[in-house]
Amino acid sequence: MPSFTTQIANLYKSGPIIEVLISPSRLLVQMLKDKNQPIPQSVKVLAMIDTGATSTVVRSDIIEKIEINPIGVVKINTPSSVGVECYQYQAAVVFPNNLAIETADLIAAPLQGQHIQCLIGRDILKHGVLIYNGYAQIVTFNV
Amino acid sequence: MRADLLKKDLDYFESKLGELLGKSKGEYALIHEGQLIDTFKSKEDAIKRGYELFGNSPFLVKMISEVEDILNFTSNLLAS
Repeated sequence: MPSFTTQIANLYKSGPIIEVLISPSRLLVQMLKDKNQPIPQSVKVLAMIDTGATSTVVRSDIIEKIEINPIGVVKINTPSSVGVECYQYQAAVVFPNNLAIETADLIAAPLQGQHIQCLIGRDILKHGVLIYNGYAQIVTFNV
Repeated sequence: MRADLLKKDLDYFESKLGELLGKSKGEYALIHEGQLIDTFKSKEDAIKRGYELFGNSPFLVKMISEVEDILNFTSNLLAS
């Protein structure tokens, strides 16, 4: 079973923050290769695992760097707003230890603060087992 | 935001929703440049067809349903 385990200093205060790679989906890459068109790049981001997020969210500036286009629009509710329309993108999310979720529907939305660029939501967590070991300050995700 | 990339497609979807519900409720519509391309049983098939036809260009895949699912976020990191 593919997995990664990471120890995070001060896990209680910082939260489960990890570095992930956001890449164009395998399907899009294959289609573009077949048409001899340029392949969008992958971008490393700092992400927080968020069990309170229905879906995975990425900051819009990251999407602009990857240069992929939307495949849909969804409405979201947040603590401060209701029914906000956001673009949806299809992409791959690669965790440490090369644990890859090949097809994820990412939402582009603004995130507070400079350091968190992505929220890993339950659409990705549904694929595996998340272990949050607060005592040892360790997070494990098995797919 | 609707003034941006998918405005024409969203406007088309909303204007034709009643008609689409009659024929393809529960399926996924693939719309591009304000035109219905086709409907599909699965979202993956609709996206795949969208990539085949339009490559890395914007297109709209939307579930044909009376009530739209709204995604919820409890984190105050989201600034929307």
